[in-house]
Amino acid sequence: MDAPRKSALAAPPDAPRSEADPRSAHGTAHGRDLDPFYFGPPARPLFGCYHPPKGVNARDCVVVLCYPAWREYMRAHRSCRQTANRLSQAGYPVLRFDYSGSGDSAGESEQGNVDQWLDEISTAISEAQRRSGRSRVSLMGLRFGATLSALAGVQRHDLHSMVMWDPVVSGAAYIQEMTNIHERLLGQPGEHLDTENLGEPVTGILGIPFTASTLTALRRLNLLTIRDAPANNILVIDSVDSAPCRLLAEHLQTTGAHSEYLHIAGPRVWMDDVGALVPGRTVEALVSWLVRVSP
Amino acid sequence: MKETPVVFGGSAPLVGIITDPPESAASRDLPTIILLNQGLVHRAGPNRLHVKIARRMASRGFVTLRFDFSGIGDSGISTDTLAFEKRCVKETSEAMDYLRDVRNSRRFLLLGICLGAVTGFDTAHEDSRVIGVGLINPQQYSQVLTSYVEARRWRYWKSVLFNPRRWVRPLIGRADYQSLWIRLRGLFVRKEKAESAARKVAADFRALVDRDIDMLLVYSSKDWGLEYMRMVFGDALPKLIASGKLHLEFVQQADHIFTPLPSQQYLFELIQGWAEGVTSRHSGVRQIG
Repeated sequence: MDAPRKSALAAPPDAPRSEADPRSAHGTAHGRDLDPFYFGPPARPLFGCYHPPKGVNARDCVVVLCYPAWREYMRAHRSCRQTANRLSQAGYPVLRFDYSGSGDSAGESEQGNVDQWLDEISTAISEAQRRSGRSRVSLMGLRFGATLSALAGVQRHDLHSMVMWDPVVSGAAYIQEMTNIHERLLGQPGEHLDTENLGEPVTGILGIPFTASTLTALRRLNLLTIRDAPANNILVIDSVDSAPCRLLAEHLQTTGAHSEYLHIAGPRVWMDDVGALVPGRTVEALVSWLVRVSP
Repeated sequence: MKETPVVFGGSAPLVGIITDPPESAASRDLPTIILLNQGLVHRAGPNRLHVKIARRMASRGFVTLRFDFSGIGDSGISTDTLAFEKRCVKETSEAMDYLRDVRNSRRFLLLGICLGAVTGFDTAHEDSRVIGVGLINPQQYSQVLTSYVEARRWRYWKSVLFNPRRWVRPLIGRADYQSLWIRLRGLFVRKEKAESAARKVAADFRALVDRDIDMLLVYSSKDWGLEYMRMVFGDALPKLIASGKLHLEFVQQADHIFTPLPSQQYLFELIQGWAEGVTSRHSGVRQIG
């Protein structure tokens, strides 16, 4: 559990908003390795899991873990949970949360957009600081979660460190990749839906409805065009030795960030055919890096 | 509608979300719905189907729980030594105990895709509080049967043998040898043994019919569960359907996890219609909590 800290950010005792079985040995936050709860605006609550730090080496930094999006979220959830566990064992408090319109958070899948998800990352950062009592923040994002982390960091200018695990560097290439997988799996292109209530066309790609405006915004994203540093220290992890990731790490140096590139061959945990694998070497590498830059 | 995270369970902290209906739709007469993990996919479900089903059914007055079995999603590791399948059944019963305590639930509908369906099916045999099970693309009732059917799926071998990408994969170190080995091993399962396993599964279905359990059996047109179903039921299917307890539905253009959006919409309508039908059939027959 949390080491006691005197801070204005300390969580009030009534902070968790989950029901626990009073008969269960796991019925309190003290007996579990995570607390599930809703936070954020009451009209659009976000679902989060808070992992208190474990062991004697409680760190002076809280980690907010940004999931991949859409189908990749479903496939990578297990790896993200295990990564949060490992970070927690290393002494970091961790908050991972679902963007609105995804997972257990409120909202319909077609209602999300990039600006809103960036706002939600900021909401999650405030919540993580409040719960942990730490002011120093590290963002850790996988795939599109890494892309959103970088954009959030550029907006905020206050992040100490960031791990970008196989980031989506180009939104246009990403949409094309998802479209190709959809066609290969189903033998047909993404379906176009009649959705009068949204006021714009919707395309179904890999089980997710995308509005035309969301697709346009995603296609415009390109991390190689950002000019400000997303964080002071950045680790770009690349599982497949891809040119875009190497280029991104080089580009981040030009923004003034201290960026490092690390290629660790490992399973692409966000893909359908990988199953339940958790890439132990990658997780250990990112924990070691974080201990070094955000002790 | 209100959603509340919950943690319960005896041998592991099991994490779930209860979706309560809005006050205007709430009814004490409705059974509670529990959504069961599709294999290792966490409780939101593949393509977020469980969340969408829970919220839709809450708008129709049903209390719904989606939760993770131990070792899956956000739930902890179990301290008991039960086999995975038996542990899932035990934890589903624990979920029912918990809902009895916190929502006064007495009757349950279990819904699951793939392995979740089989867990629901097995739990219905063990726990009399279950009045209906929704089985969506079930296909793992019996290891022997699964091996036998998987190994003889022409669609699989066609996708392996006539797809150039598959031939390249061993060269770049991405071949799925485990999957290939499972199929090859299945070729050595004797037909008599598979047929015996299929008869056992069919008898289990008849036992639930005899116990007045309502079953919704949904198959996607692009899923191999259909081949499995033919092996299990053979000529007995019309008789089971005539009992009025087994409702068989096919969803065109759908894959195993209902990726096309129109197929998701159709699935939701099937589930809603079935759940409301079961509720009305059981009204006044069983004690209402």
